[in-house]
Amino acid sequence: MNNAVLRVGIAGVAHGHAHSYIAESRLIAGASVAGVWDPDAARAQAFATHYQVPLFADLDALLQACDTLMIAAENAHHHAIVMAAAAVRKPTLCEKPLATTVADAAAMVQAFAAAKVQLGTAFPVRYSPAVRRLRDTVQGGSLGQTLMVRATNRGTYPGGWFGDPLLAGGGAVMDHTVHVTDLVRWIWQQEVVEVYAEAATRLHDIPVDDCGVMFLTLADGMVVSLDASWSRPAESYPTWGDVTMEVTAQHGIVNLDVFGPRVELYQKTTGRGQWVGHGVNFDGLMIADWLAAVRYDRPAPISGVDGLRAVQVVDAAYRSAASHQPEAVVDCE
Amino acid sequence: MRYGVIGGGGMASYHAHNITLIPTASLVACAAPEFNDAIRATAQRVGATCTASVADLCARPDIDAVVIATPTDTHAQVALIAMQAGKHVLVEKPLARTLADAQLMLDAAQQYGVKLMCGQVVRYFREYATAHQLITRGDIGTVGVARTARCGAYPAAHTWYADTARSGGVALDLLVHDLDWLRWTFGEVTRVYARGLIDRAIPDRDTVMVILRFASGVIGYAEANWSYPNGFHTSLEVAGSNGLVAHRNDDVLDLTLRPQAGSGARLAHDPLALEDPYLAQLIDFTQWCAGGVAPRSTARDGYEALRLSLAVLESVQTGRPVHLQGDAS
Repeated sequence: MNNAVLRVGIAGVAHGHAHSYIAESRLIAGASVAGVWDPDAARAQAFATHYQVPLFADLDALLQACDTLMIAAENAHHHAIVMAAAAVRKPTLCEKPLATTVADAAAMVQAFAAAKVQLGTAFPVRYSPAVRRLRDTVQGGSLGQTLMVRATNRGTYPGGWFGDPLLAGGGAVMDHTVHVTDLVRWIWQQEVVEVYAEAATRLHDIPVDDCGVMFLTLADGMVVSLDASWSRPAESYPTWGDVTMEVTAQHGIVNLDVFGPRVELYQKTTGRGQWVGHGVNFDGLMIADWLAAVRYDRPAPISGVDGLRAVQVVDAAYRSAASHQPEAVVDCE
Repeated sequence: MRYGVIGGGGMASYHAHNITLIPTASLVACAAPEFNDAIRATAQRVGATCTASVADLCARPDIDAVVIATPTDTHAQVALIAMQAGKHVLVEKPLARTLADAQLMLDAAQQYGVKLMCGQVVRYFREYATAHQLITRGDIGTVGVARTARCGAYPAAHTWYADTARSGGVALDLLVHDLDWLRWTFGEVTRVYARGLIDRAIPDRDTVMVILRFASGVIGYAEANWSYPNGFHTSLEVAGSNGLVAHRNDDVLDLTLRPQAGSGARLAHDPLALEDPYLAQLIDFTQWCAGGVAPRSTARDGYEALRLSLAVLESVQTGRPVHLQGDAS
């Protein structure tokens, strides 16, 4: 890629991250927004109008007009959009989870490997400075061997299509297992080989799971417990949710609270207190890193394979929740 | 209520002291192979005798009830001696080291017509009791996920706690607290799957993480952790269809002292600290023995909590989920 401006195409705006993708892309020198497309024409129109960017009536036209694609469509649409991007060899950053099935995710990875362009998965939490320090600390060896981890990625129920099994492919377990899975793989440089999970719909009147608690076992036997539930009451909880870890290691214990940096806000006009985060903008760092990889033709910072691995863990979690037994993570490749 | 205390360590001295705070109770005698200084001081202050013989203490006609705070694997033997002698018994948790021992204790209480209670004291911690009340009266609706954690340092090497054969390790000694509270609040458990460090023989570490499923459908996560370098942390969070109940012991102290190293500064002990859960438990037991209503936690509750702890150990040992009574899967 030369020094021309990188044109970013936004494919799908169903996921709230579409807003940060466009906002962050605009902030980066050398990048511009080519336009937006969404399978829902009215939604695409509203987005294009709000951000005053070109509206594309079909995906192929957007693909022709952009240098890199960012996908924030419903989970079930990722596969078709990514395959279309692979066909025209556009580097593509896809919202997590990469796909709703292992077969889809594997096909997407395969298509991009064949096309020899970058497929990335949006795992912005890797860009948390606290996460990076934890990774450096673990890999630096001063903690000794890590013995176990207690993790949470709990949130409010996002509503809308997240509660539609056809569009989301699952519930809280689909939505929230992948972030911590990716962090664990990245920090400890090992694959998850087995999952035990309990999942249920208990908190909301929806046809997908909203509670999920599981154990992820790594290749060396280390166990991570993870609560992936949509268990924060949106009406009263002071923030959307959390990403936390307590790492028990040979030489000490480390507590990570990714969204810990905050100011508390209490107003007369709202029915609840609010935690206003003042931490680093992970989305911005992730977009900048992705665009740099595209411009300089470097490997995706967080790859499609990373996305596939997380989908494989989700698959094992759902199988375990049905069988009530620990289930092996199946490697599809 | 005239009490004997059996055991010579920290918990025994705590119970002995608390007995002296109850107006309707008196401390008559203490029995143990050896006593710590605190028990000797308490006994001396109230004129109680100290003996090495459990049998001698239990033979005294001027004792109505005993508090047993001996190593877990001796609970059954000591309790049987006391119950045979017609004494009511409050025994520290866990009720016993094995279910067979626990059953012997339940049977003996029936046979000898005495009161037997297991000190599942978390039910008397005001934060846990309050959370229980909020949840069971429906304030957060249908419960989805209930999480507990109890984290502290590994027991000192010379103590019996560090001997798993005697104490059962963290799964019996520590986890039993939260298993009891969870069962009290959410009912019977159908399935447990446990992982952790308890099967890995790492020096000075013993931690277990458990995923539970209740007959009610509630999903539970409980962690008992003897891997902290220091301090003691508990947390509780229960998510329901109408809200969330949460508590962390680090957050809510009404008085905190951070002493300069070596200054010797410490907070005074308040002899009228009626919020002490161990004292509340002892008062409950005392009133029951005197003809009052049954206490918040029964010996049967202690039995069931022990059964859950042992299921956790079984799951760790087999690497499989343990399906308890009522699990259709």
